[in-house]
Amino acid sequence: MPDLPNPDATALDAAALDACAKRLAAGDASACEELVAATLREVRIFVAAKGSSRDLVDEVVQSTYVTAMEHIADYRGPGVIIPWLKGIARNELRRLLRERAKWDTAFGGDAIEALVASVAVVGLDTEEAHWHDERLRALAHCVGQVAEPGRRLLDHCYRDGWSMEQIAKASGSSYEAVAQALSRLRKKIRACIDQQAVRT
Amino acid sequence: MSDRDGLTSRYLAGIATPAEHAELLRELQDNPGSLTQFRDELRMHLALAAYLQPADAGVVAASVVRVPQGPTPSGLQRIRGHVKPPVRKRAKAARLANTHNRRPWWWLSLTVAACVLVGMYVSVRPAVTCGHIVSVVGSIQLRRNGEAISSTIGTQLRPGDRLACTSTGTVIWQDDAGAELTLTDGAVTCVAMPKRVTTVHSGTFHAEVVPRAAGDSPYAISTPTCDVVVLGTAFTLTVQALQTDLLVEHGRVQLSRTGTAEQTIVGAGEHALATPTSLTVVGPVVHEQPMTAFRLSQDQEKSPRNLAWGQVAPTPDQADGWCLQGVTVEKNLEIYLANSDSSAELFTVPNQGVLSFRYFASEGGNLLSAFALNGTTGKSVSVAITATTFGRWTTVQIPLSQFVVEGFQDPGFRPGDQVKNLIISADPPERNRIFLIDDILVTGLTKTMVPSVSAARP
Repeated sequence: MPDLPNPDATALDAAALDACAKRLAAGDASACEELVAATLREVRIFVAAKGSSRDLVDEVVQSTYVTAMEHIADYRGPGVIIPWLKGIARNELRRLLRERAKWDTAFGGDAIEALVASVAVVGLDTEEAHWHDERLRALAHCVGQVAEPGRRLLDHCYRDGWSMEQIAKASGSSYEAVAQALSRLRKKIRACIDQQAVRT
Repeated sequence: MSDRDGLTSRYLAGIATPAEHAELLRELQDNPGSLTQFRDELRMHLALAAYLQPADAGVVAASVVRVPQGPTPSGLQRIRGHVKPPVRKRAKAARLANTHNRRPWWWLSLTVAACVLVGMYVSVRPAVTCGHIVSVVGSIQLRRNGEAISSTIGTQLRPGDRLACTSTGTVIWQDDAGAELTLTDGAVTCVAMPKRVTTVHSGTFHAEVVPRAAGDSPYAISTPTCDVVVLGTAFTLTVQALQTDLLVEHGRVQLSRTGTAEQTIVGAGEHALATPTSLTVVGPVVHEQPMTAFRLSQDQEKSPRNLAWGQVAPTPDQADGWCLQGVTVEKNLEIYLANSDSSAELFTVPNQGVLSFRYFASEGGNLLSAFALNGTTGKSVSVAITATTFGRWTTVQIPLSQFVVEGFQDPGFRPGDQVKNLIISADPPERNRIFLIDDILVTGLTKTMVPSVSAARP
């Protein structure tokens, strides 16, 4: 199972990330890969918690790193590279959510996504606390608690990117049954995360 | 599992039918609680995808980047050039799944040869165009073969291109025969010359079609409810799914109902309505004569300037007029009204006069002010309001009794006072926002004054 960056080791990690940023700013492009590998998952989850679709999350994360690479010389540490990236991501989110909110069906877009984007952009700053670090840690814990065959279903859907057709075929179920099973799993994980958050 | 849960799960799984999609959309629009729950589930769906997605599901391919010295602009550009769009694992899995069913080796050679031939043909063949973009304001989108492409001033349009803009966007394009077409709040597809057929799906479409040369096809526009054929005229179409509104400014237009032989000729000043079941010419439209703004100035420069800074444009939602349009950059939009004879008054304050005008703002929170010089008292008077609405035209009505002497709370006007000039000023809070003002009127006057110098038409 993939691990989130270990929040307990932030001092060391942050120093290493700062070193990456410094190398990158000095023109060492190999540092780019290291920086992205070390921060991608956290930035991606941060964006996902505020996004309106998977495409938008991909687009925001992409733009975030492009902007970060372009302005890496402006980074002033120490130890805040992830907050810095999240700040860029928030700005990109705001821009793209506004676009999505406007670009609805007239452009062949999804009216539901436009609706969600219009609400999400309003709550972009106020809903900050909804997915704080504790919840991210809880997400890792709760996904780890999911037993087979639920875990396999999650992996096929989210890790392997299987289509519903592939999942239904592999599991011998109907689309409807797979969609319902996934929905139940999401609810279960969310309840687990809420419980964890209360405990901490 | 409730109906809504079922719809949500099917939507997130990507298997919702169009009817289910519409039902879910209605539920979310009508019920804020449902929307909150939907967002919670969507959030979890996206967070799981982000968490479980492999870390190498590419965002940046940095290993091949070589920046010889420091982060120079060109070096950074090269980094940016190597940032790859995310590749869905699904596509990769599908490719891997096909490896057992390989095509024979010569298939690749044939494919490459065919691609080269097609490429040569495409590069040699002159691209057929049917016009180009001459102006863009706000958000617009140009799609070619289903893909969004850059749409800036000068972009050549090709047959089949789909041009669309949001409610705050305006795009003007010119076809190769010189017709100028303005599109606001809708979508249009331009089709190959020489047929000159444009399809308007929705929104407001204004056309200035030059007289055709002998042998040219007439300009034709198709909407869901009617077909319009023009020979050389200016008109505006407001298109909805079940209704098309046509207003002809000058010239004549042939209008026929879609799928029927029913047709009519609409003349200058006439207004026609086409629905799936009827075609009606309403007759000449009588408009209240607006007082026309004739000078546009920037507030930092006290001397009025001509219209070079702003520009005159057709109103997005109304066929019967023109408005002063300014895309605010750093300075305010200011419209200055005065009598062309500067020694004469603009109007005499009536007992119950009202200043009204319409505005269109792309963002909310604009400060709108009206200033005037009371020629009788010699004092400057003003009133200010905040324009809260945006994305649609809004009429503002300000009783003249609300004007106060600048810096005081004393009434600015009394009946019988002579007003020397009037300035409408908009102060948008952000740069590059659209702000339009139209139809400036003072009602209740005993004598209507129309400045003799009017805004130039484009």
